[in-house]
Amino acid sequence: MMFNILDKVLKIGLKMGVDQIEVYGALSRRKYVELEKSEVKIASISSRSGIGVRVFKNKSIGFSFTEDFSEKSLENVVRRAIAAASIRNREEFLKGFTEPAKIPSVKDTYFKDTEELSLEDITDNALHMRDIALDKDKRVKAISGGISVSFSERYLKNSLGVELYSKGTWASASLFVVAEEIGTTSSGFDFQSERNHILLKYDEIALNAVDHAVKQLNPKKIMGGDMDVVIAPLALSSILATTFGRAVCADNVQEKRSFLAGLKNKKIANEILTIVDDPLMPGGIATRSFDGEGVPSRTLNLIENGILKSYLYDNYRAQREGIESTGHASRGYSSEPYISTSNLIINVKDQDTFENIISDIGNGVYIRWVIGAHTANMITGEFSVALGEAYHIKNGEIAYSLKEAMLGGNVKELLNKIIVMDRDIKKIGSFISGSIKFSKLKIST
Amino acid sequence: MSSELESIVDKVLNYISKKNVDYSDLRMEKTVYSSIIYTNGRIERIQHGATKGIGVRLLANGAFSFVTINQLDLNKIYNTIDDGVSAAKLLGERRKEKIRLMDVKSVRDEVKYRVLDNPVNIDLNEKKKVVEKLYKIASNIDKRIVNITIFLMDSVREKILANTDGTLIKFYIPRVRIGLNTVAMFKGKIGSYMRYEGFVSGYESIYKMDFDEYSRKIVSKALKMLEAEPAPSGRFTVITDPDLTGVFSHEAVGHACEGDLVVSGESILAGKLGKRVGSELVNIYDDSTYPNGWGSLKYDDEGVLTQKRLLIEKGILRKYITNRETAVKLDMEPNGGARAQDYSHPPIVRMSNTYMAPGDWSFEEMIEDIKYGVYLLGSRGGQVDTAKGTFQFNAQEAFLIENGEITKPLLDVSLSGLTLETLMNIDALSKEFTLRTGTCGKGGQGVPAGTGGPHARIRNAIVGGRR
Repeated sequence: MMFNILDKVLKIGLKMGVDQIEVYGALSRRKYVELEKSEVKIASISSRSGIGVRVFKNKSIGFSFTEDFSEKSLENVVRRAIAAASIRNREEFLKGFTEPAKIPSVKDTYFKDTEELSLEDITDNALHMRDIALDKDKRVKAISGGISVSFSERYLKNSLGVELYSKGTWASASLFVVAEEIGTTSSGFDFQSERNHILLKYDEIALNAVDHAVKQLNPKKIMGGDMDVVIAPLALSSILATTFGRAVCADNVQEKRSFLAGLKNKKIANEILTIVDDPLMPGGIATRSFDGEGVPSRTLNLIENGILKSYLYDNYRAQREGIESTGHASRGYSSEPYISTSNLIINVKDQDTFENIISDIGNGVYIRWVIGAHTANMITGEFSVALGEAYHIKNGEIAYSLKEAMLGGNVKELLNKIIVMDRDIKKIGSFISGSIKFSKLKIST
Repeated sequence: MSSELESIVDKVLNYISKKNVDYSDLRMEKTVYSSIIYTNGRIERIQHGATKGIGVRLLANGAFSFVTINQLDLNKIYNTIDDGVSAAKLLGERRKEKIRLMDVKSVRDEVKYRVLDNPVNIDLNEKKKVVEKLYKIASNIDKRIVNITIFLMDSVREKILANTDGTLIKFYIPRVRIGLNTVAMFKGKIGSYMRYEGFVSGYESIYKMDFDEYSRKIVSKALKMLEAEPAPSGRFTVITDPDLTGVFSHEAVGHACEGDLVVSGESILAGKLGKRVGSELVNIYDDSTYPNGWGSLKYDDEGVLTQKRLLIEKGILRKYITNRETAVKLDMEPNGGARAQDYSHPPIVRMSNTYMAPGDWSFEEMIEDIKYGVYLLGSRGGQVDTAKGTFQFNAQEAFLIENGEITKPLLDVSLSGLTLETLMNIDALSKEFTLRTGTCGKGGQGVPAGTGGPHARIRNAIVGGRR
C-alpha cells in the first residue's frame, strides 16, 4: 500500500514539472512498558506513519511531508515541497537524488518474534527485572526503567529508478536503581539495546543496576589534579557522540562549525587509535543496507592509526565537494535527511585485560558515566562534565566511589592521550568500544 | 479545521464511554510548523508541514495505558483504543496498589493567545527575508566570524483536551523562536556563542526585535572567547549570571521537586517538606502563570488549572509539583504540573517557568570581596541526578574574578555540585532578573520551559576546568 502512495506522489510531481522527485515513506509501531518504584507505571502503544517528499527543480531542493494520504493532501505536499525549493538559491554543482546502485545485504536487523512480542510478555519481563533487583539487596529503595520494543518499515522511491524497502526491529531494556543506607543515597543503572529481544539479558541488567547503585553508597572525596583515568564505554559514548560524532559530519566541517575542519589526512589522535563507522555490522543498532537517500551502505574508516581519513557525507555535502556520498544520511519522514554516524567502532591497537589496566595505576579515577555530556562543544571540542559514577583507583585497585568530581578537557587532547583499551568490548547502543585508559586528565574535586 | 478535530473527539469520547474504564483523557492536536536553518548565506535546512494525531490515556483496573496514532481514521482509532483497554487491564492485574486520581472540577474553556502576524499566514519567502536581514547585519560586524547560523522556527498548535469527567478545553498556541550562533576563528583559536529568543505569539515579536543589538551582543561574545584561556579547576567562589541561576534552579531544584520523582524515591528532596534545604536568601518558584512565559499555560494536560508554586521559601522546602496521581500519593492538591510534549506522549510531571527570586545586592557589591573566583554566564544546558542530588550545568562564557574585578575570559566550563550543599552556599543575590526560554527533556519528551533569576554568588562550588 505504501508503495502505491509513493507512486502516486512521483506521478504528481513529474506532472507538476519538477526535474526529479524522491518520496520516503515510514511506518513505525512501538510498545513500551514503564516501571516506577515497584509497580508497572504505564503501558504505551504508539503507531505513526507518513511520507517525506523532496523535489529537485532549477538546481535546488525542496522538502515537505504529510501524514494524510488523501489525493488532495498528496498534491499539496508536492506543492509545498516545490515552494520550499523555489526560495532556495540555485546551486550549480547539484546533481539531484541518488542513482540506482547495488545494495548490500545486512544481517540480523529484523526478527518476526520481536515484532510480534506481546505486551503481556514485555510486561512480565519488566516485572521480572524488578523482582530480581528488589530481591538482590535490601538496600534497594526504588527502581524505575522499562522495556521498549519497536518495529519500523522504510520505503524509498525516486524518479531516477531507485525503489527500496527495509524493515527492522529493536528491543531495549533499562533499569535505574536507587539504594539507601543510613545517611547515604546512591543510584545506579544499566541498559541493553538489541535488534532481537531474545538477546536481552534481563537478569544481568537488573543485577548490574543494583551492583552499581550499592557500590556507590558512602562515597568519599579525593584530591583533584592531573591523573590517569579509565573511561568506560558508557561514558565514552556520551562524550564522543556529542563532540567527535558531530564534528566529523561534513555539514559541520564545511560550515566551519567543527573542530575537525581542515584536519583531513592530518594526525589528530594517538596512532594506536582507529575509529570505524560500520553500517553493515550484523545486528547493530544502526545497521542498515541503504541510507535515507538510498545510497548503499559501506564501512568507512574515520580515523586510521591516528590520522583523520574521512568525514561523513550525504548527497548534498558530497556533491558540493565533487565526491560520492558515503551513505550517512539519516531521516524520519518529517525531516530533510541529516548526516549522522551509524555504528561507531573504537579500535585501539594496544589492548589488555581490565584488571591489568587498573593494576598499573597508582592514583587515578575510573569513570563509568558522566552527567552533562550533551553540553560538550562540538565546535571547539571543549567539554566539562560531572562524574555521575566514578571510583578512585588506588594502588592498582578500584577503592571506593567518588563523592563529587568533574572531568574537563578537549576531545582532540583526549584522543591523543589514549594509552590502552580493555579487551572486553561492549556495545552501548550503536557505540562499540572497550574501557580506555587515558594519561593525565584533569579531575576537579 | 477545529470542527474536524471536535467531531473526532466527540465520537472517540462516545466510544470510550462504552468501554469499561474508570477514567480516560485524550488530546487531539494539529500543529502547523516551519523551521529554517540559514547558514553562511544560504538556506541549509527548511522544513514545513503539519502533523496531527490523537493520544488517549486509559485508566482501567487501577492501571494506566496510553495509546497514540497519527492516522485519523475512526476505525483505526477505535482499534487502538481497544488495545489500550486490554493493556490497562493487563497491567491492573499485575499491580499491587491501584492508581487513584485526585478529583478535580471539570472545566469547559477555550485558551487562545493573541496573534497578530500569524505564522500560518506568512509565506516562506517572508520568513526567508527575516533570516536574511539578520544575516546581513551579523555578517558585517567582524571578519573573524567564520560561521553564522540562524534558526527560525514557528508553530501553531490547535489542541483539544477532553476527559471522561466532562472536561473539554480548546487551545490555540502560537510560538516563534529565533536563534543566532556565531563562530569566531583567529590564529588557530576558536570561539563560539549562541542565543535563542522565543515568544508565545506570532511574528510580531520577531519584527519588534532589534537585530542590530542582538547580533552585536552575540558576535562580541564569540570574539571575546578568542582570548579565552583554559579555566582553573577546583573549588571557588562563583558568580552565576541570571541565565545560569535559572538553569541551576531548574536542574538542581526543579527536577527534584517533581512529584513523580518524589513519590518514586528518586528525589533528594523527598521527605523534606518544611525543612531547611537552602540559605535564607533562596526563594524558588515554578510559575505556570508567568505573563507571556515560555513555559506558561493556563491548564495542564490533565485539565487542571495551573498556578504559581513557591517551591522554596527563604530556604525552606514548601511544595512539590504534582499531577492528579501524585497529588493522591503526596496528600497535596494537584497543582497543574502534568505536561506532555505533544499528543503522542502521555502527560508526566513537569516544570513550567522555574526561577530564583532576586535579592538586593548590586553586582559590584557581590564581587568586591572575591579574591579569586569564576564568573559564569550563558547556558549551554545542564543535567541532574535527582536521586543522588548531583547537578552539572555548562556556561557559554566564563571570566576570572581577581581581587574584586572581572579579568580574563576562560574557555567554556561547567559547574557541578550537590544540590543541598550548593543551596546552602548561596550568600548573595543581585537585584536584576531575567527569564529565558529553553526546552526541558525528561522521559524522552521535550517541553518549552522558562528559567530565570538574578546573579547569584555561590561559595565553594566545583569548577571543572582543565587547568
